[in-house]
Amino acid sequence: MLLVFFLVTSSMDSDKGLRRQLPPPPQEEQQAVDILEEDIMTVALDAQGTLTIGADTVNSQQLRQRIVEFAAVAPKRRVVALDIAADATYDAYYHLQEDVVAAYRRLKVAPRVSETVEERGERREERGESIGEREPTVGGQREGERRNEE
Amino acid sequence: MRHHIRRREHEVPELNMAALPDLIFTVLFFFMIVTHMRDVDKKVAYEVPAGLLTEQVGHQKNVIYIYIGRPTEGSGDYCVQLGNNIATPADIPAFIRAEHSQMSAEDQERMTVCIRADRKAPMSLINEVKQKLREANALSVTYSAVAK
Repeated sequence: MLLVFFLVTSSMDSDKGLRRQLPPPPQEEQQAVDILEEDIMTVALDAQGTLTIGADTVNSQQLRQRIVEFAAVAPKRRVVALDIAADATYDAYYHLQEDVVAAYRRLKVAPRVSETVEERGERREERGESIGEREPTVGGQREGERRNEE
Repeated sequence: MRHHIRRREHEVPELNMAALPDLIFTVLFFFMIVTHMRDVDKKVAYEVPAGLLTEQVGHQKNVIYIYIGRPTEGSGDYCVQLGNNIATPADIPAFIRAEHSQMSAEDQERMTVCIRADRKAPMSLINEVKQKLREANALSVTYSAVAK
């Protein structure tokens, strides 16, 4: 009976996932940081799950390659901006995150990513304080602080 | 002589059942060790994405789960489940604070929020959840996924 009880109540779910670090909450005194236009690569994800860089539609492999090529020049300075449609699916977003992480892992540096989710209808333009994400750092330097210094 | 042989053919050797309880207990203990009880009832249905770069989520005690999916009862739009209740993203900071205060100091430092969201959940909702997590200063998140 006990055996049956454990068989029924047990959940053998494996806890796996992609670990990311969110930036600290926006502070009031935080100023917008100026980033050169050439240091930003905007990757757009639309509701159909299509990825576009500028005018080119890319697949997952091409995206990784593009990020590696883009960020390898100056990984500390260059930012990948993700522009996500409000009705994009979580699945597409998850795979986009994986591609970004995989690309930066290839470079062996912490990702510098900024993220904007477009509200339905109107477009929000707040690159300065949009959500950036990064890998958990071992050294302990925080992305938000570093951005303020710049 | 002939009679003797026939008698032997019909004799079925009896199975020794003495080891059976031991066997059952072994299986029982195996299940007791490998399982952990699900401490929340699922009120939303979700199917997490499949990924290649998944890593093991930390220790159970420092993980807070947030479920995002469609309600299992009735039909409705995507919603958030915190603990045992269906909630709104606005309830997240209070929920995180409550969970955070129940943890040991060591777990508090390593607190992770595991987002278990359905593949088709809209990004507007996910983003709302993430903004609330930032507000609550719960910055370490894990996007739950199954290994491909």
